[in-house]
Amino acid sequence: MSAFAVVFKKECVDNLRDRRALSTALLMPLLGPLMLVGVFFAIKDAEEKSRAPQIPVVGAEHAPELVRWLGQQGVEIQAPPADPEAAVRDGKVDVVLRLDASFGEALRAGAPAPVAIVCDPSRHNAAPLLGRTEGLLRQYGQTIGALRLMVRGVDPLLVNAIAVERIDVGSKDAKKALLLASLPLFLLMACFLGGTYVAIDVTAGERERGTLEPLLLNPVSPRVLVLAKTAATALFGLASLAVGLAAFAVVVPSIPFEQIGLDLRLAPRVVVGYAALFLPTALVAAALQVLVGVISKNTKTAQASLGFIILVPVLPGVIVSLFPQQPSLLSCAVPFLGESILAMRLLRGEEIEVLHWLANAGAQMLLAGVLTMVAARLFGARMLSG
Amino acid sequence: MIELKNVEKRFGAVHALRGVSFAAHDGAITGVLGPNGAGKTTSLRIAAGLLPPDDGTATVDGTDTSADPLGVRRAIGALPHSHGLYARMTAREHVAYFGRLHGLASDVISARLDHLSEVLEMRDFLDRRTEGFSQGQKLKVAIARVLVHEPKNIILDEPTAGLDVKGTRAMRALVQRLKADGRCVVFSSHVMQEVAALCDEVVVIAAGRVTAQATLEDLKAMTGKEQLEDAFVAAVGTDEGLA
Repeated sequence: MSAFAVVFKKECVDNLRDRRALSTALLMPLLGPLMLVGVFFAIKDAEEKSRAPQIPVVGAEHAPELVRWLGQQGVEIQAPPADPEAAVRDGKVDVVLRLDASFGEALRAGAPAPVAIVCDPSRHNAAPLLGRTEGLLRQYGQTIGALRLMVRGVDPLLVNAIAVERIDVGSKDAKKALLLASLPLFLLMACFLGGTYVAIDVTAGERERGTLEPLLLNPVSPRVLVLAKTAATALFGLASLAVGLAAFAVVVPSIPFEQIGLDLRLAPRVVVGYAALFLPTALVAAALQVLVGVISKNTKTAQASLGFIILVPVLPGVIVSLFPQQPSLLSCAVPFLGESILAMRLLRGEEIEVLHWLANAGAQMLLAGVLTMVAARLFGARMLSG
Repeated sequence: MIELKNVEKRFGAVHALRGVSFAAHDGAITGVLGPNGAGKTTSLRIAAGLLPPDDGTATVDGTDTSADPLGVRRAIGALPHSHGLYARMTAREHVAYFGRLHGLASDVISARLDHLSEVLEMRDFLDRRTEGFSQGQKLKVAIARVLVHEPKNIILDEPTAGLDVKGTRAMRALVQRLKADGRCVVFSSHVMQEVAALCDEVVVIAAGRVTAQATLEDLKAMTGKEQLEDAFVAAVGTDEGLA
């Protein structure tokens, strides 16, 4: 066995016995798919709510016409809570409609009929239902008003001086776009997460335990040691990537994303494409993490730095999800940005050019090589002093 | 045989070694005595090929440590002052790891493990993970892994630090044994009694310089002191940092 293989094997075995390293590598990547499921149900729930709003009504018997009309509009009329004000304040229900005995009388007399909406506008979650309720009541009032004008021979359109239409491009769609973008982002992070503890253990950890000097006294060059340690780190990152990818491949097809109007499929082609796309990323991640471990004074500072460094691949991913980019040779050659661009294309079912992938993989490998060379140069007896 | 000639070493503004020269011969125990911070560890690191000297030469069995550091490390078994272990690995795995790093075959490693665990009395904990080992057990593992490739030259940097009486005696017995095998043993310490009890020759280092290299008898004669302890103090120039 070569010295490289000896060190690689030892670091893998040693870190496989570290429950913290193992659980980080194998369990953390499951968070992404879990979040995807959670967000799916949250969106679905919100959409169902807005499609069939449920409104508790107090005194429904005072305005049977209105209540029937609301039912025709798809509103599910519910029995009111005992204390509407308290129920709304505590967030048990979003709104309560209150009608009293004077409603029918006022309507017949042609006076504004009183309707009360018990609500708490400061509650963000209640806002859609509140808006919907107000809109429906306004519509009902306008319908009756129009009938009154028509009875008096007046064109009801005369009172509508302007026609307002609301075109909603807001939060719901942004949530979906983020949901879509989160998939490659989670895979990018998995490449980093899996190797974090390993990278720290094999560098700053060796120094802190006092195992570095005995190791360096063996007839093995520091270059070989760093290569083997980086390879072991990369293996954990790749394992993390594989777990994340497998989890997405299982979760995504079993969730009916089309129900929330989202075209999210994970064809085998995409899974394979992602594996190819993120393989070099895992190598860069390992090289970067090992370098940080080598230059860190101890495991604590290494951990702090690596926690910060995991943001490096996330930022380009967020940028891509907010401002979708057309891939160019140049943008693809930017590490982390390139994968995010190409990953989004793959996810949308678009083709990616081999040249773009090569540019990305080449740039990543070059970066990994440079980082490893720097780490190899800094790794050694100089780590012992200071 | 380990030989340092006029070795100079600086770390930034610190002039750690100011021309250190000494020779350690085969079949002898050479003690390196000096206060903490005198340059013992740096000298031994240079001898083991871990650090290159800024000036001067260090050779092991005639091989220059700067020219062929890996070759030198094959000929040396060095127990550094900080000799930590991997908590999640067993004693056996520690020794096997270092054996493989020296390119030894598995059957050779297991034969030497047998021998070493006999000599060092480590059969009871050979297959236990080292987490929770006592200081003595840890030291045995650390020594076994630097002896697994049967080096001709052995450097022990303060090996008895933190050991109890039993452990210290076992350590002395081992060092005697290595000497009887004809190996070159370099043994650093800031404890005068230990050096007096073990060493054939003593190298006294103070403030980055060798102030004396002699047998114990010659050292007494040189310094004109009857007691070895007084001779050491006279050679170092101060009794500060000694024990």
